[in-house]
Amino acid sequence: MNVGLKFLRMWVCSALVVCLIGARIADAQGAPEININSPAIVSLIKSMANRVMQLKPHLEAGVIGLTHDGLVAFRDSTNIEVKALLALDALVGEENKDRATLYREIARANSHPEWESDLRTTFGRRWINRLPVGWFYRDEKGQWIKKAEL
Amino acid sequence: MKAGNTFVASIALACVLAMAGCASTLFFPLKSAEKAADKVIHEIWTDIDKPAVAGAGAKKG
Repeated sequence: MNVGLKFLRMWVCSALVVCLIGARIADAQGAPEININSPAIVSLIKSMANRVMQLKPHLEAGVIGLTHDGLVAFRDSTNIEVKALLALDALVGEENKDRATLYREIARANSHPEWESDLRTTFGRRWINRLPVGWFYRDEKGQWIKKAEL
Repeated sequence: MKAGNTFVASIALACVLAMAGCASTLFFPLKSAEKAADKVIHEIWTDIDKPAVAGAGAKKG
């Protein structure tokens, strides 16, 4: 066998092993805690907490729902007046802006901007997990699903 | 031989770049992130988690 190919095969195999071991170590209990205490993150949490009770009736009614990637989206707005719809649209826009900034800020506060996408899906999954029964969420396939009793 | 070395070097470089791309996912501390997400969500949804108080807002008398 060509020496170069032999070397390449060995190199790729050892690199994969190092990667897998690293992943196990990173995911182990000793992994560092994720910092969520920067002033920007605290301010975003406060802003979102202040908005949540305005979103709640619309989440309960199924007008809006959560998405798998950690955002809020319209599901069924057929029974809403135009004026109320415009107000809700602005509210959802503000919420999604805060959510996107939150994921970016957490990634940045932990010196790993490349984590933003993983954080987004992790938050999306946890948010759906916490969703009260009867509320809606949109899965990866774009299907709206009503949260049911386990 | 030179062409072979160049080929091996370019494949190795491609592997390094591909690994750098997937490293962020491989090394993403999922458990810590889930813990952080739960904490943040709890803080944001504190009011949602509160049970509704019967008769809240009703006038006294």
